[in-house]
Amino acid sequence: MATRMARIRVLFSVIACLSFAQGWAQVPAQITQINVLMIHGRSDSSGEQFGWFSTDQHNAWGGLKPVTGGNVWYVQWDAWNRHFDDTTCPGGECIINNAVNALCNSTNGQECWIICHSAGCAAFENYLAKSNYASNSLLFAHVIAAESAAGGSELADNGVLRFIGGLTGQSGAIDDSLKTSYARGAYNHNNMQGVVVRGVGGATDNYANHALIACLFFPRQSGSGTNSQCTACGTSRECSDGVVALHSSCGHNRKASFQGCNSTLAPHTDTAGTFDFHGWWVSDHECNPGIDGSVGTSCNWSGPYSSTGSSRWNSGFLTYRNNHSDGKQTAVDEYSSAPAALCP
Amino acid sequence: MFDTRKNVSLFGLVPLALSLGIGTPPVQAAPQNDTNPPSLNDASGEGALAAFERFTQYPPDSRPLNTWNWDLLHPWSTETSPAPMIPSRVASQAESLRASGVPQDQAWRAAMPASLPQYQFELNKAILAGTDDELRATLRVTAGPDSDTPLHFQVTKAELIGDQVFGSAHLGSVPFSCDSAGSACTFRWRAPSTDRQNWGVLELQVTATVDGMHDDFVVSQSFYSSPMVAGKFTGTFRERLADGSLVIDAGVSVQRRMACFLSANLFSADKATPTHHVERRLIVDPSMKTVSFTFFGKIFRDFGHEGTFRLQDFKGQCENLAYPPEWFMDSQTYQAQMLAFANNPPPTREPGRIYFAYNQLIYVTHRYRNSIFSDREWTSPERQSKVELLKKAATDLNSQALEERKQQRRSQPQ
Repeated sequence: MATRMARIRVLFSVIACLSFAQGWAQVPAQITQINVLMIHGRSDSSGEQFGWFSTDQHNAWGGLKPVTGGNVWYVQWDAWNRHFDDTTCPGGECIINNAVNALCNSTNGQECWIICHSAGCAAFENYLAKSNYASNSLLFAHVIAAESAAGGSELADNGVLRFIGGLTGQSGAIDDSLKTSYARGAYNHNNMQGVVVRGVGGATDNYANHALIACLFFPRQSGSGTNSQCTACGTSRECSDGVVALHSSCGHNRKASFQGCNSTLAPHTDTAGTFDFHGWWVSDHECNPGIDGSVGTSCNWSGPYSSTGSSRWNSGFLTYRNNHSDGKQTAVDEYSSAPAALCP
Repeated sequence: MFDTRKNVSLFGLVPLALSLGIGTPPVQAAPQNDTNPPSLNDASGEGALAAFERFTQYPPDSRPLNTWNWDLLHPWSTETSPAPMIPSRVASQAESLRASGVPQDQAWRAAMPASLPQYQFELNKAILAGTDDELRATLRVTAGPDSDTPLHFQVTKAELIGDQVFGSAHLGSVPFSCDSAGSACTFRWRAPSTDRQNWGVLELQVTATVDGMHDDFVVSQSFYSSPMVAGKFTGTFRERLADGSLVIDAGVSVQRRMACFLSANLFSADKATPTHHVERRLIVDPSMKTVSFTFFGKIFRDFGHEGTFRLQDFKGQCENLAYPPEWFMDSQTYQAQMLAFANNPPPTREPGRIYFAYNQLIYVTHRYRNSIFSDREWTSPERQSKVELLKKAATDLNSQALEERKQQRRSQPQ
C-alpha cells in the first residue's frame, strides 16, 4: 500500500510539474490550499510589520479569526502613511499584489477568499480592477467587504476622520486617499473582473456622537420608506456606520443618500446606482426579496448564518446594524458560520 | 440553481490533498441538474463560476454601458454634498476640553454651536489633466441642512494647498468672482506649470465670513491634479469591422512609457443612449500612434443597438510607477522582482497617477445595421482555463468532508 501511494505521489508530482511547464492555461490545477485573506482598514501603523502573517500581528482585527478548514492570512499594509492605491510597498496596492501572488495562485493549488474592512476594501478593489485577473492564474472565490470605504468618506472630505475611533487629533496620509473624489476616481469600481463583492453595509445610530456626525456630514433624505435603523436628523434619515455612508459600504456608484444596499448580481438588476458585480452579504439568495422587489425561485442557502449577523441583519434594506468597527465581527462570524461550500 | 449539497460522494480525495499538500488527480464532476442555471447571487463555487462566466461573455476591455452607470458616464467628476461650516475655534475648544478630561463626545457636543450653516462646492470636474484644464468650483452657503435659504457670505482668502507628499505647500491664491447677490462665488484654477508641486491631491481652501455671524469659517474642497501628462488623444480616428465587432483606432501622441488605462464611451447617436464603455489596459510608448478600441459585437446584438454611434469621454489614466510597467502589467511573471522591490522601496514618494491631457473630442461613426455585428461570446484560452478552474473549485467545495472539517474547526478553541 505504501509503495502504491508513493507511486501515486510521484505520478501526481510529475503531473503537477508538467502542468506548470505547459502553463496554467492548458492544464488547470487542483485546488488544494484554501487561503482566507484578511485585509484591514485605516489604522495607526506604528510598530506594524508589513506583508502577510498567520497571526493578527497588528491587532487590526482585534483578535478576530474566521473559522476555516484552510489557512487565515492577515495582510498588513501601511493603512496610515500610505494611500490604498500606492504601488510602492508598504502601500495598499503593492502589499496586496505581492500577497495574492504568493497565496492565491491556482498553479500552486491555491484559491483565496477575501475578507476586507473599510480602507482594506478600497485597497483590494483597486488592486483587482487594475489587475489582469481575467487572464491570469489567480483565483478569488468572493469578497466579503465589511464597511467598505471604497467609495470614500465624507469625514475624510472634511478633515474630521482624525476625530473618529479614538485617534483624536491624528491624521494619516491615507486620509487623502479616502476622500470621496479620490477614492471614486482612483479606479473603475465596476471592473471587478467577474469577482463578486458582497458588502456588509452598516446602517445604525449605534456610535458615539451619532447625531452630530450623521446629521452634519453624511447625505440624508426624507420621505416615506426610509430605513428606521439609520440616524434621524429632523425629518430626514441618514444611513452610515459612523465613518462611511451606505454609498460607500454598499458599492453605490455615486455619492448620494442611500437607505439600503442593492445588487447588480443576477437575478438582481439594480438600476438605481450600484457598481457592477457588487451586492450585499449574503446574497442569501433569491428567496429573500430584494430592495428592488425582486423575488427568486429557489433557496439553496439561507443567511445570515451567524447569530451576530442574524441579530444585526435588516432584511428590508439589506444592511446591518453595525457601526464601523462592528462590521469586522459580522464579516468574520458570517464567514465562520457559513456552510463550507460558501466559506470553506 | 444547483443543489450543490447533493454531490458529496466523489470528493474524498480533497481532505487527503489538503493534508498532504500535493496535487491530486482531477475529479470528474458529477452530473448536475441544470434546469435552474446558477445565479450570480450565490456565494457558492457555482455562484463564483457563474459570475465569471457572466463577466467574460464580453471581453474585460469592452463592456455594456447603461444610463445608470453614473460614474462611467461622468469620468472626470464626483458628486459633492453639503457639509457643515464649523467655526475655526470649535476644534481647538473641543480639544482643550478633551485634554482637561472631558470625554471626546461630550467635548464636541459642548464646543459645537447649536446650528451651523452648510456649504457646498459644485465642481465642473474632480480631476484636472494638463495645464490647459481648468477647475471651476462654485461655493454656496445655506442656513443649515434642512434649509435651502441661501446665506450671503464674503470670501476673505482663497488659496490652494499642495499634496502631502510635497509637504502640503501653499501654492498661492486662487482667483474668484462672486455674484452680485453675494450668495455664490466661483473659483477658477489651472496648473500654472508642470511643476511637481501642482501634482496630486490639491485642496482649495476658502476662508469666509457669513452675514450675521461672528466666526470665521474655513471650508475646503479637494481635487486631483495631473499637470504633466503622459500623452494625449490627437483627434484622428479610423473605424473598421473586425470579427463582428466595431473597432475604432484613435490617434494618440505619447510622451512617456507608462502602464495606462485608456477609456472612452460609445453612445447611440440616434437614440442618445450609452452603449459601450471601453477600457484598454496597456503600456503606452512614444512610438505608439494609435490605440484600438474594440466595441464588442455581442453587446450591440444583446442590447439592440444600431445606427450611427458617437465616441466620446476619452480618458487616459496612467500609473506613476517606481518600477518598470511590465511588472505592473504582469506581476505574476515578475513576482520575484516585485518582492525584491518591496524590500527596497524608493526613498521619496510621488502621487500615483498621471493622465492624458483632458479633451472634449467626439467622433461619429458610419451607420451600421444591428445584424452586421456578431452575437458570439468572447473566447480566449485564458478565459476557458479560468472557467475550468472555477468549475473544479466549485466541485471541490461541494465536499461533505470539507464541511466536516470546518465543523471540526468550529468546535476547536481559536
